[in-house]
Amino acid sequence: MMKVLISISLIILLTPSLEAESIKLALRPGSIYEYRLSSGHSSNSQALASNFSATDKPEDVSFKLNVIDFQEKAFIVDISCNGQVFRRYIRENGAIAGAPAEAGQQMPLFLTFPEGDWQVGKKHLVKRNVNIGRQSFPADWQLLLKKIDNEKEQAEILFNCTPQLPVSRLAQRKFMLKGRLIFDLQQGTISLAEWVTEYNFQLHNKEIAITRNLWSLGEKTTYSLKLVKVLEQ
Amino acid sequence: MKKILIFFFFASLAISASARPFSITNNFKFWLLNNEARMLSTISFDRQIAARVNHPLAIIPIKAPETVSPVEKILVIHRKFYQLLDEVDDIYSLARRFGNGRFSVVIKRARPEIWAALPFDQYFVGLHRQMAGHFRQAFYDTLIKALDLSQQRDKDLSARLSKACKKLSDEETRLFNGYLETFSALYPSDQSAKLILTFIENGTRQQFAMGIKQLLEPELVSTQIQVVEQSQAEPSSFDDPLAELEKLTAMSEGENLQITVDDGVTSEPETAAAENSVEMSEAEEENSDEAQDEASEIDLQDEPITEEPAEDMFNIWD
Repeated sequence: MMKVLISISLIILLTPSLEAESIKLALRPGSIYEYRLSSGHSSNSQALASNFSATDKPEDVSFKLNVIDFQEKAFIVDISCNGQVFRRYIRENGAIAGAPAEAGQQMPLFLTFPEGDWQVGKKHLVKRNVNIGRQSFPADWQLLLKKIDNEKEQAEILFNCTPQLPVSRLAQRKFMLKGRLIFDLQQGTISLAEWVTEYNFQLHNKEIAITRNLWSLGEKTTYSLKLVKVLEQ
Repeated sequence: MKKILIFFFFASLAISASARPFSITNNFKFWLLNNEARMLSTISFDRQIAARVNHPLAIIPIKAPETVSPVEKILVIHRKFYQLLDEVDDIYSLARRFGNGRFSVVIKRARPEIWAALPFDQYFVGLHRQMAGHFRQAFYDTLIKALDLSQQRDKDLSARLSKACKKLSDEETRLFNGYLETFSALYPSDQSAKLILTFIENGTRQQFAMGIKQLLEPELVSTQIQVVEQSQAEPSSFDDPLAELEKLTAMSEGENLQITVDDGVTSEPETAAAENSVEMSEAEEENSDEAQDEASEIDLQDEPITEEPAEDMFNIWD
């Protein structure tokens, strides 16, 4: 009997998948969250046997989230960046409820956290479509709660997105995004996010039985988002 | 139906107006441009999709990436290729039109400076002797300008071709040749890429179309009213008008790019008339010769060049 109890308690202790946490934004109205977004871009292309490469200087952009209020289950936030201000209504799960300053623009497909408790090791699928003209292309987000650090009160979430690009007889292309973010459970904010996008493109020419590769392009962009400081008002 | 017919009528007019008379580069250029368009439209489309997921979090402001793509480097090189192809086309066209020297002979035989000065000879005897040289100079200056020729640029077409080719670096030249070879492999029945390659290879090695020099650097010293001796006027080495070009481009009459040569058109010297006097009858004869030569020149220029592209070459939206 004693052995059974010990083994059960060991299983409970060693199985991290039973850990669960509700991941939701908890921005404090009146506070200003200052973030820094760094990005780096490198690319290479090939034309027949000739290679060309380019690496851009890393770019740093600072922006501030001025949390105005929490109304209708959404945070009203003013995002100020390089002298411009965008107002957005952001839900607790990260979805966007409105963007009055960006009316008429196609907003990106933002990832969202699952409602309620999220078990460690469990995947969360966010089904999305990119519409361009009359065409629609699936661009689903896959999220995974990798681990929860109880000491630091942080959750590590992995995410990726692989939009299905149109299939073409002559052009082969692939786009992929993958990254991770650290969610501060105590503050209810994203304290760190890193992701990388990769794009590959190849153009062939095909006539009857002859196929020739003409050009190829590979692009890689890395992003890093870091919470610099929080100003309480 | 009527609208369609009108559209095709104007479209055909526009196409014929924009086409170069002796273009050997059109097919290859269209192929490259077409592929560029395909690449740019595909990348642009993909970037629209990428832009929708590049910023995964709603707290991040949208910012268009300011990146330099290496594709732009390729396009910069391609623009050099297009400049070279235009230059090759121009040179080839000039060589075909004026390279055999027959046009300069026709002009020389017309003696416009004499006819311009002759009416004054009734009132001022000997005026033509003083004026003919100036008239002749002015006529040639105007003619060269009207034909959009340049004495410095066009007197040696081989040098002009070499200069154009030297604008490409070794790597760019390799890429250019690679494109030509790819085009030839994809469209074996289309000889234009081989034609360009051979024309450049041979044309940069040896001088050709020297007949144009007669047009650009005419003899201006003579102020005597003379009928030009044909043996002087006629460049002996340009008997077969397009033989040089065919040799340069390694073409035969049976090949696909049908630049046919009228075998009847020869520029053999004709016997001159009297040396020291001008008689109207002779002038009339020369005028008739000139008319014949002009007619044959027009025939030569109007030779059809059948450069039919493959059916699906320009359809980028398949």
